Amino acid sequence: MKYYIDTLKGVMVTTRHLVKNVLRREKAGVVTVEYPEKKLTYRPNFRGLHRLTRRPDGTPKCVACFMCETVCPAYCIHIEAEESPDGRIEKRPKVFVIDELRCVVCGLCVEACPEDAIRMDTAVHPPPATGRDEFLYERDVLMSHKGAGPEPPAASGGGRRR
Amino acid sequence: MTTAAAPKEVTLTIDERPAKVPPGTTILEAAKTVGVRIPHFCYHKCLSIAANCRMCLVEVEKSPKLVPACHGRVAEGMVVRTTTPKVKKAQQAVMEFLFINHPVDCPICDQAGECKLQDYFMEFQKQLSRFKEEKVEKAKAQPIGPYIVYDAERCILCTRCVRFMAEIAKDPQLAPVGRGDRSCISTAPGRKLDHPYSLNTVDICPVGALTSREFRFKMRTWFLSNADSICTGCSRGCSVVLQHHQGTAHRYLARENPLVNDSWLCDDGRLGYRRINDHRLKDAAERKGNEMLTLAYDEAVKQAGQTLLEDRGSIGVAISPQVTCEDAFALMRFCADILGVREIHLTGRADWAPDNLLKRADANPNRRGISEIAAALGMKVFDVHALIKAAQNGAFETLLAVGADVPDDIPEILDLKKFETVIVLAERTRGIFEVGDLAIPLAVHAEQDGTMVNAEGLVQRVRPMGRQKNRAVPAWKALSDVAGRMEREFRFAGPDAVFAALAEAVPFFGGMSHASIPAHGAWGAGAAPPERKPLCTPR
Repeated sequence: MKYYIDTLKGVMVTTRHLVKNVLRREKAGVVTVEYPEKKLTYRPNFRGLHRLTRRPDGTPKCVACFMCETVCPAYCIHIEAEESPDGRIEKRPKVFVIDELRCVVCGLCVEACPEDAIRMDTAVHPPPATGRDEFLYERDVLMSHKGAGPEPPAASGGGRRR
Repeated sequence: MTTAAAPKEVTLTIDERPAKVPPGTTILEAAKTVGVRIPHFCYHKCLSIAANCRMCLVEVEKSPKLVPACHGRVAEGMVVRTTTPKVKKAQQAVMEFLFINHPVDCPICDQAGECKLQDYFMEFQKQLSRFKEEKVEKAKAQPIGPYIVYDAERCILCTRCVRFMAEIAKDPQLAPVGRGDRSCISTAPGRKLDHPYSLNTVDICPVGALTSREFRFKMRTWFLSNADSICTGCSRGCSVVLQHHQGTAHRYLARENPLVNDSWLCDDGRLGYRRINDHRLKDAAERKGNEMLTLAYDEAVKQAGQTLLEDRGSIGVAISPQVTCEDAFALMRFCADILGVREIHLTGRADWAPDNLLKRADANPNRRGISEIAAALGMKVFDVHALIKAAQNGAFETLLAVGADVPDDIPEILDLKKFETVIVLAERTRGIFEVGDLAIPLAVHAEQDGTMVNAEGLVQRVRPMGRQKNRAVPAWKALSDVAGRMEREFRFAGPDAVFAALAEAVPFFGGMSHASIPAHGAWGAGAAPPERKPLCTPR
């Protein structure tokens, strides 16, 4: 007998919450967002899709120092360096690929970068795709991504510190 | 003063540790013997003492000023201290001065990761620069020679490169020019740093001022792993450190060996690491018409076994002196025990132009070792010309070759096609592979645990990189698999076991084992260590 009473009590609790949530949304403190009609805005420090920042002349800021590749715990960055035609910059990435499927979104690459060349401030997720290869983001694609926040000040560039 | 009266040993104290060294030793070397490390940039064991970087300043009791340890000689009862506040302050000041005009462009500097400025900053400076002015700008990425790029901003003017060129290469192509903060290292106007030993200057440059154009931007140094090895460019067998990453060899660095090469390598030998990566045969292959088609290893072994069984009695054997003693021993035992062949032909690379420092004419690292093994096993040794003649006369039906290298300068090498079947254990898709009918990928020296013997009779070990990008196997492994297909018992437990059998059978290697060969190598029995003038500047 006690079993049935307790069961009913439990069902009552559930039902009460159900009715409260459906009829008195705001007061009940429900946090569900009616996606996709309504979208949350991300905080400024949200780590989204990577991008490679550019110099004022459009070339990548990256000097292929391999800091991000070294620090990456998921081994998702692959860089090949080459000589830059600009003698004061010397070095630039010939190949820069991020495997967004491997990426664990830790942001260490952004922390490690001495040139502010890689950022995760795009405020978007990697869009869905139908093949694994499509998650390999190459240098030019990463450079085409736009940052959500204000652009960083134009640095003097190169590996040089002044 | 008579030398006879000079004491044999001087006793001194370095950081409270008693040291006993011969008179005339520098404080820095004496400190090394008791495990005290003194930081230095300009000092190099094999070069003259410049004492210009001032990083090695130490405090010597009763001396009013700090003493450069690289230059100061020991004296009886001397008390040296290397960690007093006075010394630490001096080290910090020296580092701060060195950094005044240094561009700190580590992100684009190839030396990053093995740079003494980086290491010593973390260890001895530990404070940021107080210098507020504009840094002096100097030439960057200046191609100073065919192999070398010079960056004047990073240069600390230690003159190691200058001294190497003048004292070891004996061709003073470099000199410091200019004064004060505009001083830099330069060649004479219109001249280049093109000596065939010039890449040693990159090795000894403590900072990123001299970098190799060949290695430039290819790899960051901290990704590289080290394997002790030897240079296989010539029969000198210089000790090297092979630096590799994920099965790819990236460079050779000279490994100090007072028995062979001191701290140096020739440029041709140093760049020979490329042969580990280039044109490699990745899988077994068989000839179908004009093409070599990939084949499973087991299938190739089976076919080789069948061919060798059928053609027994008409088999010629060739070996390249590029292979290790283990591979050579396994092949010769295979010949004697299973094939019943008592003759062997030595192929290998053609001679090249020697020089009077390290490079020898014979461009094969293990001719001596193979000759010693062949002599002990009673094999008759012929050269590559005899092999070509045998092909032309149709002396054998089948050729079994270990190692694909043949001299490029003998065009008749293509006559090897006249053999009915050519079975080749090939490292590369070159040489005998091109005339081969069945090929099994052969591990090079950097992919196996083995030994090689240089022309002077020094037995040295080579160590594997630990990871391979191909399916190459050592010859002793491949041959034992082939023997298994011929239903003969011919097995080795591993490279150590092959060498143990080799040491038992060949008196030259008597009493040696892989574990007993020291890093500098061991002289074979009966090998007379040559009278060798060290490639070091006498002090």
